[in-house]
Amino acid sequence: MKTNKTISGLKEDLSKVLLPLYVDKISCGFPSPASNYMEKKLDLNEHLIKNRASTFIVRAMGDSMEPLILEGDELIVDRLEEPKNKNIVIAIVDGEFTMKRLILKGNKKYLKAENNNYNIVEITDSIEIWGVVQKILRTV
Amino acid sequence: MIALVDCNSFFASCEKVFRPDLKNAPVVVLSNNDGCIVAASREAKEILDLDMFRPYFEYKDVLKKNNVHVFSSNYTLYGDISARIMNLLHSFTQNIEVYSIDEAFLEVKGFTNLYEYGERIKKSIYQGTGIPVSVGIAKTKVLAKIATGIAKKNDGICILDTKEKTEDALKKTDVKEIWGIGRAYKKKLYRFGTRTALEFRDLSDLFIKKQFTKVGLNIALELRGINCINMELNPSPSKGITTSRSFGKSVEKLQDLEEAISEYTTLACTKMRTQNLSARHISIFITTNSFKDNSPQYWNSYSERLLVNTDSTSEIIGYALKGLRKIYKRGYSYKKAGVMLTDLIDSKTIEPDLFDSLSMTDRQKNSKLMKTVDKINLKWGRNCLYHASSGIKQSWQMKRNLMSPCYTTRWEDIPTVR
Repeated sequence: MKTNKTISGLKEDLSKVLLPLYVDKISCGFPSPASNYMEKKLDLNEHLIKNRASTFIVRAMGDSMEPLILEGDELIVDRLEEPKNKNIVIAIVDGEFTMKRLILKGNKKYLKAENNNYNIVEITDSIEIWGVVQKILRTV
Repeated sequence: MIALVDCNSFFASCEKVFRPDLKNAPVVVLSNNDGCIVAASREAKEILDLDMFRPYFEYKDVLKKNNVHVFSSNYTLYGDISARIMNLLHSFTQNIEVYSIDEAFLEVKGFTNLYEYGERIKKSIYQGTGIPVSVGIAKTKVLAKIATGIAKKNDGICILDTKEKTEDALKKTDVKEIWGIGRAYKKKLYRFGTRTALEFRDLSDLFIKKQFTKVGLNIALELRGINCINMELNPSPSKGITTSRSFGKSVEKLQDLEEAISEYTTLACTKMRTQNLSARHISIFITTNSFKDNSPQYWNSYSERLLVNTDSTSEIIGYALKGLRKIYKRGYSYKKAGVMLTDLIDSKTIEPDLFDSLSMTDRQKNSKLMKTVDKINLKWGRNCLYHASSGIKQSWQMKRNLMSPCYTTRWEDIPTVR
């Protein structure tokens, strides 16, 4: 603002007022009390996937793992996770992908279905663990 | 030391990851347009005497008789698995140079047991992605490549950390296997009686430089353990982006060529935008099939330098089609076309021009529109939104009849488990 002030008195020239031109929108109101506490949003990618390079997503079919896993569920599988007792794993049996619970008893290993209509299978050299299921995604 | 990690029969191995039923089966993968065999699994190589550059149809009967599984190239799948492998390799080194879709050089510092280091890499990649790799470790890149070549024929690891081991390896390696020695140099070396890498290494510097230029001398120095070829850690931004493909079947009509050029321009522009670049120079070319010697041949190209750098697909398609109409000639069977975008600069530094046909505001609007289109296509799948000029039926598209599902990038293609 341009003013003409003389020492002798207040003599302001108010005929010309120069104001800066704002290009951006200005948010009105007082600063938010929450501004110091803002965090980034809940990130699902980070939450669901630990190691992106070794994580794959597969789709569940059939009822072998009911009621825990239902047909159509998407399973997040990590190939680098060390399979431990009671983990749900994806294994290769007879050239096909299967989802089962891994049971370690002494020095024997088994693949067990949640559904009692299915038999327990002992793991031999011909069976390979493909990965460990981390999360189950279901649309309800 | 430098390690070269090289995937074994990469494309074929990728096809096996989600097909546990093919674990020990012979598998081959075909090139663009299902033309030639570009990859073969170990089992396939053992059965067939495969000359990789012979056309696929010459092998059809043999493949069928031997129950060999054939796939068209699934670059989406291969690219995704490659990215995962390179990601895993980062944890093994401070400095990695991704050399190709299935090879990477790693700088190895401070590891005393190199064999164990190689083993850990192999195990980690196989466990994490299902892809078997070979690891060669030596003092220089050229030597590492030779080491990997030997690793592939043995148990997958080859360490050339002593003079004796290196000399032994060079003695067993033919000159044509040396990285950088192509067919022409090989023929020349054979004529001089130089057949092994060891013999090439020991030729005089003067002779090498005279016959094989400084490039050849650098290769020889690398064979001697002197690093000349540096690790390229930060790839420089593209100097040009090209999209060129052969057509699935011969194209005669201008309309079909227009569709193809529009499509290729779209692909090139999308690629360019992911690098935040804009182009000032566009070239297109069309060509007939040079293998069909009986039919009349025609090759032509059109180039134009633009007033202002742009990344707008719509705008560039305009220039491309204008050029196409200038060079198109009726009566020819076109087999291939391509679009090249050069003179690339960062999109943020575009300067307006007084004689520009579009105003800066319109340019910014176009830019925003393109970014929105890119976002939508990313979410809903490539070509969800496309320019009408690219055509709907696209009868000229690449033949890829035997492509596997995109197991890792499309929800409808993810593998099923019981």
